[in-house]
Amino acid sequence: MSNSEQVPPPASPGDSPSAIAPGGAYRAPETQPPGKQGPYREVTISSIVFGIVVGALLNASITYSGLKIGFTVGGSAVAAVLGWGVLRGILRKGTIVENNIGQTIASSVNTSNSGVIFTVPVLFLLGLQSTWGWTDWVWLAAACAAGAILGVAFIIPTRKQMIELDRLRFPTGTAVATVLRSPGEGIQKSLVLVVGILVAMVVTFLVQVPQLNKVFGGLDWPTLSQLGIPILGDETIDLTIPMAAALGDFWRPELTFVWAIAPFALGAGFITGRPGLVVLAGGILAYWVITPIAFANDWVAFGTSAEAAAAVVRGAMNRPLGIGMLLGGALVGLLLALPAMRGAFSSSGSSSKSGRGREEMPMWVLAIAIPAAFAVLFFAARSTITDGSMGQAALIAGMGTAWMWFAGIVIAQCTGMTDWSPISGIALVTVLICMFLTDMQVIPAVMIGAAVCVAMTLCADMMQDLKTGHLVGAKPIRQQIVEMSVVWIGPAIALLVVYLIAQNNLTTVGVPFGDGTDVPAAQAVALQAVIESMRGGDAPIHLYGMGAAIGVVLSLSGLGGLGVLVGLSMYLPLMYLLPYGLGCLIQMFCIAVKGRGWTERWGLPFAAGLLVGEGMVGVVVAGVAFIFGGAA
Amino acid sequence: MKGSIGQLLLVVGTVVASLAAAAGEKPWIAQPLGSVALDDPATLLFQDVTSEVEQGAEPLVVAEAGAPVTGAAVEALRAAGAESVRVRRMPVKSELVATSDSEGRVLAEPLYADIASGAGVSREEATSRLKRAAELEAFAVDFEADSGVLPEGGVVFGTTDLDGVEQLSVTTESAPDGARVVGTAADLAAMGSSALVVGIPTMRSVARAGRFVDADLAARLTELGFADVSVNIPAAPWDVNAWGARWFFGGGLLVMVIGVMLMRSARVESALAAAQAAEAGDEASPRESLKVVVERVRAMNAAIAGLSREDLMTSCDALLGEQVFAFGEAKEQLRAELGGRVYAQVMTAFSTGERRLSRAWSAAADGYRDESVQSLAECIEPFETALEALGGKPSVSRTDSGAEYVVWSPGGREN
Repeated sequence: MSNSEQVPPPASPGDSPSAIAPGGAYRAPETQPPGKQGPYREVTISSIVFGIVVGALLNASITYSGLKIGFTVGGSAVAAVLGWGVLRGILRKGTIVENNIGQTIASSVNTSNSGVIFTVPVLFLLGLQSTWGWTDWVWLAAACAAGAILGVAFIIPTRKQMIELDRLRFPTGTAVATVLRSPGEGIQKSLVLVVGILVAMVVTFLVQVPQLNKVFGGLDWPTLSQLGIPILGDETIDLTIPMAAALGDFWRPELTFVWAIAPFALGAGFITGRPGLVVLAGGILAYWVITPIAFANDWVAFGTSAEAAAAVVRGAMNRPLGIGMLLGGALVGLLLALPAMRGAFSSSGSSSKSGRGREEMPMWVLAIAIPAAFAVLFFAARSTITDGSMGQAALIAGMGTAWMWFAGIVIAQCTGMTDWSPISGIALVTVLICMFLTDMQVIPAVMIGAAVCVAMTLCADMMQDLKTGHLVGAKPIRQQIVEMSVVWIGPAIALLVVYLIAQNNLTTVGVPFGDGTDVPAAQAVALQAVIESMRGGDAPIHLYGMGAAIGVVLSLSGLGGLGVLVGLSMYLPLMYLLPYGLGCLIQMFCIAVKGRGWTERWGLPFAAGLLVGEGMVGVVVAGVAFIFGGAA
Repeated sequence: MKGSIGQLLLVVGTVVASLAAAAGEKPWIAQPLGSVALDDPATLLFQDVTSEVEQGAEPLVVAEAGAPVTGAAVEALRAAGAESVRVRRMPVKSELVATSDSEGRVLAEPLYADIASGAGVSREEATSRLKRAAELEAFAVDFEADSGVLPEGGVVFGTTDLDGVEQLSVTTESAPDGARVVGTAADLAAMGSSALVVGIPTMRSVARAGRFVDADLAARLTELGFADVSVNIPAAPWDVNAWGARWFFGGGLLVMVIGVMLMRSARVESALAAAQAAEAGDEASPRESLKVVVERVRAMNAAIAGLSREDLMTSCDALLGEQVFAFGEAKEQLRAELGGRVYAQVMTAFSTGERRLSRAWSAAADGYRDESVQSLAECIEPFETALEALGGKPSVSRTDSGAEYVVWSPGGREN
């Protein structure tokens, strides 16, 4: 190639025939209608009010259902679909980027609930609320709000790393962007999206029938397991027996081949594609290599049955190792990214501004948010640590602030690569660290833990929203400002719901959550068990360390986030990894057979529909449980 | 080849290191048969020791898991050709301590109080009542299965509400309204299929197993009359010397590191080879994709007055779906070729252009032509900045007819 070359204006088959004149040049200018007048609608009163109202409703219902069924669902996709109905359908003026702002606000108000319900109920379960005054609750709310704001602020540098440099897929963010863009994509593409949504809604509804039967008491709709198909459970397809029959002596009784009926996992795998196969490989390592070898060599308690082996090995070995890998892998990924981050910021001066002003949130916001959050955490810790010194409060506040950043990156990275966020695992490590710093005091540990969990859930949520924004052309600074302005609302709502449910249960049945109530709060009960075993001097810290060492080396490989991906797959149940891996393989198959263009054009909307449809049914069931939960 | 070997080593090393880590959790220690302490209550068998002699269909159990190692067990193992015996790493997991000393420990067993008297129920009594409850529950479940009668209106079996059920309350269809006959399981069996079964709890839960004993709980247990409680014995501090598989773990990590080095080396070589191939014109390079992006964005801007809303959308969509996407997909190659700092400069600018191009599409789709046109114009600068950082400095010239074209000059990679 010569040192310089001349290139005429090109034409390509992708260009519109009407835009390109014969011979390859753009056709002669002619007057075009001016289009809609006025500034492009983005941050508007309508979108803000819509986002807050929808987010608050989602938050209350999902907080309740999360305590009841043990997991939460994201609200972005639902808000995006509702946004079209309200902003465009009813108000007749919504734009793509305005709807994006609406869903950004709604999801940021909603998302913090998982951070609250995984941690705060522990205070009730341990009976510690009886000693609390209203000021303690205020400090808890303030700590969570500080976590929420700091979680969003930490995204300022992280956005560059994950969206611009690593270009992570963020399956839900991509799916929401597909929803937002659908009115401009043409009827056929929108139809594919709608078909994906409908398929997922029907499948998810069938999976949710047992939950609905429970909520409505007397309701007795037939569940999937009652259809008489041997391999079909209520929420799973169990192919263990056919697999064992096919493989004969090569199959071992401690292996399982159970698939979750989870359209979102299939869709997320499809959107992720080939890089997601590492997750499947990690699952195979955990469940089909470590588990049978551990069982065959008696590394589990004597008398453990083959059927129970997978669960026992997961709890005792794979899960702690996976958490360690996540942390070690993320730490090295972060260190490796630092030079690139520095390069990104040194070169972002011009690209962060357009002729119409700044497009990126300036770094000084982070410089203000960090000491402010530290101060809130410091006073919250100071007010709750018994016999604690100023230094101890400063230490725990400093650690909490630093950990918010790191944990936020871990969660955002996991979400970006796979759509799964290991919040409960990181919450566990967070509380463990806080307890060590407070001489095993639960209240300050859970309080800081709650703030960190809220921060990291918002990190992940904000990254999904910013990915959506990137794909639809939103200005990051506008998303960041609105999110930072409303994000404190979420923890307040979630805390209020948790408090009201606990008080109601204490009044009526004498216990706040768990046995004897209709609100099991499964994640909090699990965290409580870990806290109590730690207080008794029993925590698998050495396994976390070994996992971290493996994660460090994996991430040094330079394959994006390898340590995090393998760690996440050892942490998650295999039944979700299988449909996810299948989604990855289907995408690869489509690319090989039909080409990348076809796969992106037709496969992506369908996969996005699977994510959105499952999320919509999940939210509806959560709302139904919230309204009619008393009937259960 | 080098990269494939590196990947293989990474996989093998990961598997070995993970297994070695898991092996550290095994709940037993192998002790040589010649030196194991016999009949020592602190040296307990991890698993049953069986003889080669069969008792029925099963081999004869010489010593049961949890029992001290006996001479017979050692002989049986020797006869089977074993050289060591597996003993529990932690001989016992719980111990009885005075309730006043239980603060700071974790309960090993659940504690109950009698509903009628309110007093704490001793371990033996609680065990007995729970056993009885389990028997009655099993009976009632069988009864229900045989008779098809549901225990309607009664306590649901299998929940904690059944703690300590010691008798059954039975009513029949023929009995007067509300009349109940207190009886035993045998009475129930005699009453046939018309009976409804109701369990009567006699104990309530005070604290579950795994509960941490703080000062409040310890005081409450004392108040309820518990003289002693069973608590967990904390695991001994983890000892790296007792971890037999530590060398496998270290070896696994070493193999992983070698694999990583090979992979990184292969990736750099591959990226440079791809860059050279692209320079030689053998295959399309990311740089070519970005050049096309810049040229087409410039061309679109030049012809903007003639582009309809649909033209704008189609042109932006085509660029985003083809060249912009292709350039983004080449991130790993670019990262290896350029190094972190230059890669960041390229990608930061490129991503800004990509986002503004998406905005041009969105605004066009929404019918805001002015915004679309302005966003499209704002794409040029970041895309050109990216190209410049990537290694080609563009300058714009015009033909005699006024059409724009771009002249490129070379750039360089990070040293």
